[in-house]
Amino acid sequence: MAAKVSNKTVSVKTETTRGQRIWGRYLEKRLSPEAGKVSIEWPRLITAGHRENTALPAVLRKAKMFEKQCLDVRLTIEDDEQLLLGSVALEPWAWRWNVNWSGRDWVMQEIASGDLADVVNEEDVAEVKEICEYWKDKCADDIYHAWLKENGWNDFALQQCEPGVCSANLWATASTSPGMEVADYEKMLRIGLKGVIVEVEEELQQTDVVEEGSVRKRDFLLALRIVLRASIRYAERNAEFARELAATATGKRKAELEKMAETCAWVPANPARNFQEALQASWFVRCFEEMDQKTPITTPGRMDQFLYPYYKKDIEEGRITREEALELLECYRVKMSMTRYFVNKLVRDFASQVQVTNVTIGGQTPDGKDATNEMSYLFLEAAMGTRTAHPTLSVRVHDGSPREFLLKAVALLSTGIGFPAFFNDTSMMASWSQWGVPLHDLRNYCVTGCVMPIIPGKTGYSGWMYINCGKAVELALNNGIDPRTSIKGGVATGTFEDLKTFDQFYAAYKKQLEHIIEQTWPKTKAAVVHVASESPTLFDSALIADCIQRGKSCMAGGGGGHYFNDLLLPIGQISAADSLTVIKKLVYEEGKIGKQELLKALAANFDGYDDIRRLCLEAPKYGNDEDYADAMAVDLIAFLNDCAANMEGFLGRKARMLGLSYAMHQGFGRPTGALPNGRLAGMTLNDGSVSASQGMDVEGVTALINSAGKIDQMSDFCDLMNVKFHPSALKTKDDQVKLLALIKTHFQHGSKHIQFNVIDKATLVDAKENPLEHKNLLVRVAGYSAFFTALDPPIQDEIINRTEHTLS
Amino acid sequence: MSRQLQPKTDQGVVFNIQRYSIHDGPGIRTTVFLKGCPLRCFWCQNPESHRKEPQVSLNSDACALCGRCVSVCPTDAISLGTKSSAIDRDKCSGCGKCVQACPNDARSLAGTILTVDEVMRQVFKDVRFYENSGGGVTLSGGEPLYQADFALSILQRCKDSGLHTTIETCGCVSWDVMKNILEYTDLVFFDIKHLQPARHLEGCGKSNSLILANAKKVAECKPIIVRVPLIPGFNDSSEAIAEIAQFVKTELGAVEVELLPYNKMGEVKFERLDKKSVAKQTQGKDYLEGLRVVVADLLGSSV
Ligand code: SF4
Ligand code: SF4
Repeated sequence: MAAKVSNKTVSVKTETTRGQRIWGRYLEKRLSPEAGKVSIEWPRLITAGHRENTALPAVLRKAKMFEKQCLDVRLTIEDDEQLLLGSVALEPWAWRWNVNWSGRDWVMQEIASGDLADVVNEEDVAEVKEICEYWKDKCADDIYHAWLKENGWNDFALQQCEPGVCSANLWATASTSPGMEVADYEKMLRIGLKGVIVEVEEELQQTDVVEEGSVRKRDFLLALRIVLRASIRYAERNAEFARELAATATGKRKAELEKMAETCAWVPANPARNFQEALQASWFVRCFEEMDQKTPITTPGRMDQFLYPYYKKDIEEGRITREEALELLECYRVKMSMTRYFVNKLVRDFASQVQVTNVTIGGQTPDGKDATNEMSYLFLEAAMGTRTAHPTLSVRVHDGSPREFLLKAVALLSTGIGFPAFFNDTSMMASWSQWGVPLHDLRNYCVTGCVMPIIPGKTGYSGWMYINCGKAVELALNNGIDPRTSIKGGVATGTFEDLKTFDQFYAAYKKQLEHIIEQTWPKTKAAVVHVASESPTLFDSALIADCIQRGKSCMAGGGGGHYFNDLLLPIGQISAADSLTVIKKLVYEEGKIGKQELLKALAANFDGYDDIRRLCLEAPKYGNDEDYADAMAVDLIAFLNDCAANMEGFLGRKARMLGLSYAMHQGFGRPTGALPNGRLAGMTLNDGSVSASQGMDVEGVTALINSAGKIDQMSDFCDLMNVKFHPSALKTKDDQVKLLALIKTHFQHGSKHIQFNVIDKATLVDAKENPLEHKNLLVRVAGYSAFFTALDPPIQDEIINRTEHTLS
Repeated sequence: MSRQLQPKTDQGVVFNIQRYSIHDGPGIRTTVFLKGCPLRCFWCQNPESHRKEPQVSLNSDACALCGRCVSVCPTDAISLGTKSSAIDRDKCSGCGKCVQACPNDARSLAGTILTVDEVMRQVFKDVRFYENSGGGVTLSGGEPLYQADFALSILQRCKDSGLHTTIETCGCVSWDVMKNILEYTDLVFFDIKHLQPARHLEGCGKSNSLILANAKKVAECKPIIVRVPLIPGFNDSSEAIAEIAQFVKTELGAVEVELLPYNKMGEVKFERLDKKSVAKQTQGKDYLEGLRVVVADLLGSSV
């Protein structure tokens, strides 16, 4: 082993790709003092756009805010080797702040508390304050809260409960956002934005001002036209920028810049003519989505499908080599990994980028053939080359998926990068078919966020809310009172003593869940309506079916009924199910723990109750292929599914249950006290939705998979299965072949999803202690990968403690 | 737990059932570790597998001297020392009560009496994984054939369901036993530790004559993979390895040889059972590669 001179020693590799070099340089910038600050330029332009257009209706004003950014934002290129133009990050590792959404109040608070000191440049503080002042009573957050207040309601959570304890509809707040739609990239590449403008203008011509609806429709269409024209202008500006750079460049770089200029002068205005244009236009879409909306979760969808025809043609006509295409894809990966969303400290601490961008590869064509193509392989290779966190990859698996492709996906996994995730076509499509989506659309599904299925170009906006299943256990044990605060957050269901049988207790628990849902869902829906009228999604609406014809944004019913996702997102369901099992077995069936004894032990966070905690921990748990405990999880998840089916969504639809944990298992874990499954107060709840509670699956991965298979996942919208693997179980090709068999067996059970963390404990422990030496270490947190060293200690510990499924 | 070991074929002592076992034969497997071994190799990784009966093992670092185990022990086998509790192995019946009682997980029971049905219930849970991966069941130990009837019953039941079966054997059993077992076995991992009878006796407590004779007979009728655990100072010289390779070449034919690098796990376990093993260094990567070349040179590429 070569001697290490200092921390700064960088191992010199002889052969690096362009993507690796760009990413390597970008990673290094991360440690520099000027990196990682709030980029003041975006909020400045957004604010100016708003201020200059206060007279206009909201939808047109929003279009003008977009236009302002397109026309005035500074143009940059992050690296001299980058081949794609258009930026979402103006400075290295900058935080992007969509102030029209939120931040007004917490930014002021964090300035006062000093929490922002390391994130905002000294010279920007005054302007940040001024911007905050301007957005008072104007940003989405404030509008929503004013509305709640007018209704006599408390914050976005339960009426009498603290925010974020029992439930949360995060998108209305600082932490995350709406944009769950996937734009119709295929159409955009085929007809260009000019083609879309033609559609808008045709619709405008046919829309006479008759009554309120047609006035609003015209406003919306005019707004789309502003946005589309501004988008084209932004690309043209980039073309001019590249031309300027080319003027002083020499040699190979000069030629590259000229090509880039030519590309941006043509797309996205016009139909793409080659692979580089198609990819550049796709990247621009991402930029426009950023300028339009707070969209950390928007995803490009099935990129291997819509890019392939351009690649194929280029290859056939000798315009590009496979290596050149790969190089471009690597550039795209770097671009995708540059965005960071400015969020409050709480969220900043537990998610390094607060971003989930997801590219789906493989699967089936709309007519049911295998869809895997050369581009699918290239996406795997680009990820292997650059090792960037974004975009994450989702591999669709069906009976006809080429084995070679799947094994290559497993090989990528075994590098420890934390993706791809695998999705089961059969099960994914089965659940959608319940909702009347035609087969050719089902076959075209992609994944957005962690595990959310979506039909590209069709699915519109979603109203979604998280509920804390762990807190509901506490409420059921305490007659609806949150023991942490003594606030009556739940509904009176009787004291623990009153509940004479387990069935009675379980019924009380279900009532608490229903109460939380009843309290939160109407507010979530109302928030959707308000946000849709104040801050409608514009750019993507131009590329979602029917929006132009209906004259409505994809948040407000463009897209149509089949494709709406109204979601119930339960968090901590496995922690809750295990807790119910413990209560059932040890309290009601065996009487090993008295009711008061359990309440006292929980109140004391098991301090001084080691024996009770031991009994709790040793009781059967979900994830060990043991029916007693698994049955509880099966039943609870079926109940949650029914709850969702009873929630009225928009456009006459019912909501759906989606199982994931994002980072909410920590968010909800923090205010949740000790639970009967032995979990201590404040610790994270289970991660994923069908994986076991942390460390509770002691029978190995096949047992866990068998347990998950007992859950009727065919009925769920999607579920999340997180498995941790020690690298020694994935070293050889033979190991990888076996892992593929494992995945396939999981899917035969009807399960929908599986993802793996392939990292050893020692590495993680070391990384926690010596973050500098592991700045490149990626781990799977939930549906996204993040830099391990950028996560806060509880999440780090949780990842360390996830059971290692390995031999020896 | 309190079940006593009966001299019946439908039950035996199992010290572990490992699912998603991927390095013990083809595909995804369930490996059933049976307790008891005729050899006493000084480096043994699983010393708790030596005796056939269930045994308590104690992790003295975790013991907090609370005394709970003392009060539950029906045979007064436990005493409290200054740093940890201790077990009088002559008195202990292996009932496992102290394991249940210990609040600090300091005690664990090596070996559980299971019926063939109980073993098969575990085995059948993963049938789909075997089917999708070409896997099956591996019997390991200890020496699985040390509980010959129990092993035979398990293998027969596996074959009744068409499962692929593998055994990992030290070969030190009578040919009659081996022959019966092979009828229900698809693949044999066969340990060869040393070619010199005297060295073998010294290191493993028995001569190797029966082992080598069995190896030849097994190779005649079943697919066999020879495994050589590399023990520092015992058999990891290139001469000792070359001897084994030579034996394989002339007596067994073109069979695969796996060299298993030494790891230190066994030493810790020995301490917990109040036994002593000899601490040794592990072999370096280059050294291992060298040994592999020795074997490859003699056998062709089958390493
Ligand atoms: S296993 Fe039973 S007999 Fe042996 S020490 Fe423990 S309690 Fe005593
Ligand atoms: S019960 Fe456990 S901790 Fe207590 S003395 Fe016995 S071995 Fe030690």
